[in-house]
Amino acid sequence: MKVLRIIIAIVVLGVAIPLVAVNVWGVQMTFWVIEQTRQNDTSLADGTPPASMPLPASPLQFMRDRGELQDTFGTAALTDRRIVEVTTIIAAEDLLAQGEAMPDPSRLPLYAAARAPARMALHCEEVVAAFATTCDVARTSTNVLDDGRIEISADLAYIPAAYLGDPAQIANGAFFTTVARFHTMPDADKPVFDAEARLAVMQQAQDLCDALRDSFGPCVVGRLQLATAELWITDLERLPEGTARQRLSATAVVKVYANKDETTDDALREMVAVLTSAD
Amino acid sequence: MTSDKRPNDFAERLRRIEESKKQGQPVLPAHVRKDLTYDNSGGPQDHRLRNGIIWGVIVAGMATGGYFALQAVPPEMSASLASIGAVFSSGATVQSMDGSGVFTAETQSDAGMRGANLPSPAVASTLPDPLTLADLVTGATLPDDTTQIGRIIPFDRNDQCNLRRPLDGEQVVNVRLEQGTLPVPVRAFSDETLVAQLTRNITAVTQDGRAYDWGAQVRAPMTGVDVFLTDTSAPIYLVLQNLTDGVIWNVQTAPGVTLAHVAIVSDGFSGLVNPPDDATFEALLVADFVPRHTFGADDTVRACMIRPWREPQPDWVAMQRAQGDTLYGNQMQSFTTGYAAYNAWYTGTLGVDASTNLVAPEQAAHVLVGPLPPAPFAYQAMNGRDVHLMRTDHMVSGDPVTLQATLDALHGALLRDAIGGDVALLDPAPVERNTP
Repeated sequence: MKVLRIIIAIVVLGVAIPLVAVNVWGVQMTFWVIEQTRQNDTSLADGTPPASMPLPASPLQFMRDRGELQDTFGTAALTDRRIVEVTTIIAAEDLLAQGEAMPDPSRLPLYAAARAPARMALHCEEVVAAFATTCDVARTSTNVLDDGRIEISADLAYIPAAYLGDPAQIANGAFFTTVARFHTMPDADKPVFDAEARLAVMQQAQDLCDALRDSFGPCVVGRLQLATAELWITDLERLPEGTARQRLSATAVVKVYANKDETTDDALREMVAVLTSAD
Repeated sequence: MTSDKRPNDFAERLRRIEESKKQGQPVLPAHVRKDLTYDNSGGPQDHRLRNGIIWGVIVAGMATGGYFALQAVPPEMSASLASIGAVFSSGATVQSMDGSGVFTAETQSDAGMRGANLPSPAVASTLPDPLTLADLVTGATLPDDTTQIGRIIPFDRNDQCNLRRPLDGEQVVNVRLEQGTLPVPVRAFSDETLVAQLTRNITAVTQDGRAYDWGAQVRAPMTGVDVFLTDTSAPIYLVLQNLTDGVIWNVQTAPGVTLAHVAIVSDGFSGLVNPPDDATFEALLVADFVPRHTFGADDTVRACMIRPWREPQPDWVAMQRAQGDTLYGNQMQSFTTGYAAYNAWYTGTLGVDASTNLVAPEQAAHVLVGPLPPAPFAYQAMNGRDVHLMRTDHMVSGDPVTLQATLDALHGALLRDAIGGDVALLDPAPVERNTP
């Protein structure tokens, strides 16, 4: 009988109470939708921008946060919460060894897929040089373009070298995500897509995160996209001969863990805007 | 003196055991049982009604869910599931001929979803009575995985969607099925198929993070079919058609039969055991002219629509189910429109209807076209004979061990070439920062 009571207690604590909590949250969400709709209607009638209401926090949010905190700020392992995404376009010859014959065009997509990981591992050297202790090629995809060149995209998972901050020190913490766009000028004015420019952007993203950490709380560069922006032929015709066609387009998704009562998305965005405006 | 009473105790125990044997084992009343409920004072409660309701709700829920899930299955998948079910069905072979002279199978447990499935030794024919191999031939040595053939002689398939026109006096006969059932020691596949397989294997590593799957290989299954020709009334123009994987056709003629020409129309790389009478032959590969089939793709009559659909027959299981089932209805609609489009091309090309002298099971090992011969004639085995095969990039033959070794070598060589080294390069080691 004692065992039975223990089982019932476990079921109530482990299943029934969370279920009740989730249902209460569902009611809260319903009220949130009703209130948000009412405010939208009001703002439409008044011609004023609608007020942004924070979503009710899920009662199980702490469980998700715990795993996400570990994946985001833990430095023991590579995770998909910290990725440098590099997209490059190269000539097919660049995939081949010295003196190696070009494969039949029908086999080129296979060669591209097979050689992309080793090729993109070279970019890991840059990531480690810029702001990581470890970098690994987590994912690659390839596409043979109409002109025979090959577009390769890779997700490089990394462990940050910089101090990220201690999430345990944050009271009432929550994740805030913001996007920083570097080089917002026209493509022709962007830096050339080379190692020097990529290293500079990685350092810039880390500097941005360091500043956010000092102001808000633990920060990590969640996904840094380093893409190739190619100038149009019409652009090149107007530029001096020999102008590099491939330019660097960079965007960083930055994650901050901060006190949700003292931090807002707007405040974070404003600071990111200020910090990247010097770019 | 001693106070040890053990001998007496032992004697007492023996006495009690003996006594209990005489009285028999005590029987507990049926209602006395271990019960974990708090109140054990009453008798056991009867929960049959409650349990019945619970199970009723569960079964009704599963049945409803299953019904709507089946409704949601795409027609092509439904067809595949149906054919899988048909493969597992078995039973006696019963054949009949309908009014149009087209082979049909009586609706027995052996009936395939789209016509009869006739494993050896059953023979598909248009004759009213069931036939077996022994009724036709003597000394049959059927091919298997270890059969040693002669050479594989590749031949070029037609680059136009046409066939030689039957000459005056030639009699067109048709064999049209989905696939054969005899095992053959031959594999044929294109480099495109090999590249696609290896690309899938590699992307599973580079995108999904899995280990390289060495077992994921191009299998290129092929089957064999014996075709027996017995009509001596005119030279025969034989049209061999199938809808799925490649087939090796072994055409055999009874004494007095003249085989003039063989035309193959196939969805796979098919071939022909060296034909009798040095008959000429040619072949069309469906994929050369028609894109991979998707539902509704063959609904319109058009040039070069050479996918060899079979006309649905009333006693196909799928046809019977089509009356009240949209899935089968759609599938049979697809077959009907596909056959109309194919027949339009066929009639325009050969000058006769595609149902002329037709034997059309779903699957078969042996097919008879013509009357029952007066006496069985000698079976022409595949052993040691050359096989003419539609030319493609990779054509191999051998026993299962040899075939597997050949396939392993093909896959391994191209994989190494594509990677430019060992397969470990698909997952390079992490780069670590050197710390002083």
